[in-house]
Amino acid sequence: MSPEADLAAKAEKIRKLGRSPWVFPVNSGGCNGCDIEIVDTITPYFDAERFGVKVASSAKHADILLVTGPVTRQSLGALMNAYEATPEPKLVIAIGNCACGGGICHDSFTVMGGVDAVIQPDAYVPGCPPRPEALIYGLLLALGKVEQKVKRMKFKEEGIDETRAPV
Amino acid sequence: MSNILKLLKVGIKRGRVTLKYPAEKTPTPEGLRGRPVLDFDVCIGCGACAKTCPPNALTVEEKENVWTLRLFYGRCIMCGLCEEVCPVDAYRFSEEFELASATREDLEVELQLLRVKCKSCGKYFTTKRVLDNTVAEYSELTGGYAEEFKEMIYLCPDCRRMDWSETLADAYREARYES
Amino acid sequence: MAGTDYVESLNHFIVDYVLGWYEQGTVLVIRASVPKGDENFPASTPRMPVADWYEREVKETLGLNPVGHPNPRKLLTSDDWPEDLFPMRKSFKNETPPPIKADAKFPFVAPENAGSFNVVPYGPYHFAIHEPIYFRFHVDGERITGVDLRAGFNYRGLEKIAETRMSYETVPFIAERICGICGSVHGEAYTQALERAARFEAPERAKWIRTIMLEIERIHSHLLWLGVATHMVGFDSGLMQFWRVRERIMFLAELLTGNRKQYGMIVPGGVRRDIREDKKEKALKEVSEVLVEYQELLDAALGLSTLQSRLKGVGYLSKEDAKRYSVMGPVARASGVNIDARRDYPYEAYSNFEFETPVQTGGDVLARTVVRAHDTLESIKIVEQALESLPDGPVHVPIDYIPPDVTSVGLVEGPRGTDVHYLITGGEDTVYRWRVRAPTYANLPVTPLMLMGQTLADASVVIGSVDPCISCTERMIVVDDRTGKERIISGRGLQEDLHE
Repeated sequence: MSPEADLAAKAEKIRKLGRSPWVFPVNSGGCNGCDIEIVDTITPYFDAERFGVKVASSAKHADILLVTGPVTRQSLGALMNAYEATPEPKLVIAIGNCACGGGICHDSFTVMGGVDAVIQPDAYVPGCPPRPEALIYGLLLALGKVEQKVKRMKFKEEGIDETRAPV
Repeated sequence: MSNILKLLKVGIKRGRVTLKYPAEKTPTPEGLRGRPVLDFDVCIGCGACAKTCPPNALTVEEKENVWTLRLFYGRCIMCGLCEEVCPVDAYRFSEEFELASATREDLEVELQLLRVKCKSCGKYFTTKRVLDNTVAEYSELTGGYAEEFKEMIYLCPDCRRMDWSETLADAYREARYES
Repeated sequence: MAGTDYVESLNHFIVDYVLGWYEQGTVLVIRASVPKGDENFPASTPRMPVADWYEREVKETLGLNPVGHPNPRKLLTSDDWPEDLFPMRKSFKNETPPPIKADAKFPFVAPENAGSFNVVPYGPYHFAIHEPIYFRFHVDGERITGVDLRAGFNYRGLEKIAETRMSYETVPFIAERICGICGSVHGEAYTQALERAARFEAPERAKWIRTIMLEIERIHSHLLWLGVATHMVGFDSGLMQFWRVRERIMFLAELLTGNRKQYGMIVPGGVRRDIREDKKEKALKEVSEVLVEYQELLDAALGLSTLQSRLKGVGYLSKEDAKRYSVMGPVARASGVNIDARRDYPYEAYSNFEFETPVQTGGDVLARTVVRAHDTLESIKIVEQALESLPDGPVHVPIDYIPPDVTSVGLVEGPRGTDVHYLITGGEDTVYRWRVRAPTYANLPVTPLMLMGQTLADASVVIGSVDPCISCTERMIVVDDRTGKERIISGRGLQEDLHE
């Protein structure tokens, strides 16, 4: 699919989600730091419920899955069950370093990588653990309400495209 | 019953504490661990940061005449070890924590530098910036084997070892057979 | 208990049983060896029920078979992991895991006397618990008659990573990420074990700062627990109010270290950041305000008679059972067992401060709540004393030399109990064997006992009262046993013995 068609499909999905997305945190083998920050977001100082966000009690009632932790071999089945139980339209957000790319244990024998090893997420929220403000920012980004601030940066020294290197 | 009123009184007394994020910027303490910012003009390409990084967020790829450093913010734990070991202070810790992104590519930083060949064997061994840096540092050196050192900068470590052993062997022969 | 693979160098495995006596403040390590080729050793579980999970772990990660163990099922590795592949052996490399099989199942065993047809699964993803863990309750109406448990979802293989890829200085960063709530405790235990192996004492100011960070972690962990426990019985205002008070502690941690959790402060040789005077003044002010808010909230929330009647008499654990299964921390102190590693095995700057260790005899969830509430008050007092008496001096001194092949143990009192790290140093700046024994590892096997006879509605709060930190429990264990020769070495004299 072309990038424009992708963006249009995504905007349509977000419109269908409505105004009050219900989230469900899924811990696929993490240290629990990001899960505590998710619960922190509904406490008085940060109050994500201002945005209509409620923590659902089951994946079957959820609109957004917040996946934390690296995907371990042991929790692979449970993660896929939770993903398939969530009805469409749904969004998946990878919270924390471990879900973004495997984190500090990315090369372990029981870790398969980040969430993108099994499911393609709609947003990445890095941090170890990410601050609750960063979490709210990531949630609003996935819902299309704020602009993204980071961009890929590339720097090439002059002369790199030459085939001969100087001595 | 009276305890419920006590709890209600506590709630009312402490009032509303919600921070008005994202409408207003929340206060951040000094020294907050935000994302590390790499200064492209200062980095010389020594690779010390990649060796230290605990989660391997910094990786180095050496291919032909190109030395590539990649920093993946999705794996960075903001520990600060890269800032501690960098010999030229190329890393600066900002206070930015709003790093959410829709794609994995937007979380990557890539820096590519030129590599140089050894004068003797022709193998690529270090980056041009490291070479220039070392030449500048050794330019004031005098006395003893200063001239030999200044020549050895342009050699790869293996050739350097051979060269130094030959220099020492020559000096020994000279000293032994002249006397 | 830990096992280590010495097959390449010495052609055998070793098993070390590490026992601690709190009254005397000593640690005893019993070392046995298991030969390569005949990897069996007599199981201690029939006589010492506390050794249950340790021996299961040794069996599945190192391949040493405990003969006579009543329940040698898989504990930590995935259901599709082959039975004959042992990840903690040195010959196994991280890069070559076996392929995934989708249809493997865990063999659940119905406990005896369960006698009913109804099984209620609790987990792995449940609204009330923050980590995946799979309990199966056999129920008769509303009463629980039997419990079986499948752990291991959070097992990430961190010990193997520390042995292969990390150096002495970077292991604290992975140790902190064992658990998101009690991270510094693990960093501190590792550093303690390493500094003890090197016979190194950190500078005074570093010891004080380490104590402050550990106590700040205890305060935030207990406030977190109080909020979560009240939430589990349906009292959501408790969750919101306790976490409102807790947020100020998180801001304080961010002020002092730059990060709300996983501070990255405690490294071998000292700490990484200093506390400036103005930050110290701010911290003292914050702590005294938190004390006031906390006391008024405690008075209002825990005095509610509805809350007390929900928590009283639920999840009872007797003193004999607590001693037999060697439970730790607030769970033990609520059943009358008076143990506290800060007082019995003094470390860092604790011997300079005055604090009490609260003990209750109720043995139920209400007693554990009271113990944790008092613990928080004592912690706040320690932080105030430490901030006021901070000595001058450097905060970091590099360690000159760490000798190889030294076995040492680090003991730290975390919010959930005593955390024990067992370390064998290796050459070339890496550890040879690192075993983490989190307190929940000792407390979790006791939950089936506590759950017997409770109603389903109370199951959440009983499991929660143990304050399980599942990720601490499962980091990876590898144990190697050596062939059967036993040698008793006294704990404090262990370093001298091995130095020779």
